[in-house]
Amino acid sequence: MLVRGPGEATRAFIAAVTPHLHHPIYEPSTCDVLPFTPAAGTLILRDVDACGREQQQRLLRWLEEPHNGYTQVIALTATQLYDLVQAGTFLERLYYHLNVTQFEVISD
Amino acid sequence: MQNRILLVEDDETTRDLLSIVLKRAGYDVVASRSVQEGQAVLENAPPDLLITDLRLGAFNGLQLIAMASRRIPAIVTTGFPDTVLEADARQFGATFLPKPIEAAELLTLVEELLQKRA
Repeated sequence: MLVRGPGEATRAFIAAVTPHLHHPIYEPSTCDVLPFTPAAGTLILRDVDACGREQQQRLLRWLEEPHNGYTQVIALTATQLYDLVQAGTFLERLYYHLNVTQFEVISD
Repeated sequence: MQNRILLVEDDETTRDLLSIVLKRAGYDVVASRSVQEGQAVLENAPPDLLITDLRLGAFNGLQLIAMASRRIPAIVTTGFPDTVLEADARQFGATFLPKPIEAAELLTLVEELLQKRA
């Protein structure tokens, strides 16, 4: 799932949907994927548009590995991620993996 | 009554060719170029079956299935083999069909899915 909007709006969105997410919830402080594979749950990636190339590739490899259980991935971005794909700074394959569903959130 | 198929494909040549194949097989085809156009058809004139490309510019064709208000049989096509998105498509109850698409294979699959629905 891709969620686009300003930081406060995406934070509010996450807070609102948290009761409905698969638990446990993993929220790494950087784009670097966790050093372990969650058995199941939700992975929240903040500022995915700020992930560097190496981090994107690592994330893509992690997404394409088989996992035990089902891990839901929510990627948050303040920018139009497809613009970065077209500019060549965000991996296209990763973009389509993250963008299975898409929400745009706005500030009040 | 003719079965109605919504085809969502941003490549004009592919869209035209698939439309011809499906129409010659006797289906009523609505061809859309984008997720937005496809969503409008799904809401206003729901088809019996959906065929959608996966990579539709800034949008993922799976969004049409994920966000649909009612469930219809769906085929997801792509020229980029992807086991993750294939698993996502299956999760949504869709059938994954990699490109290049063989007309006979597509028509067999369409018939099977429509018969299951009936």
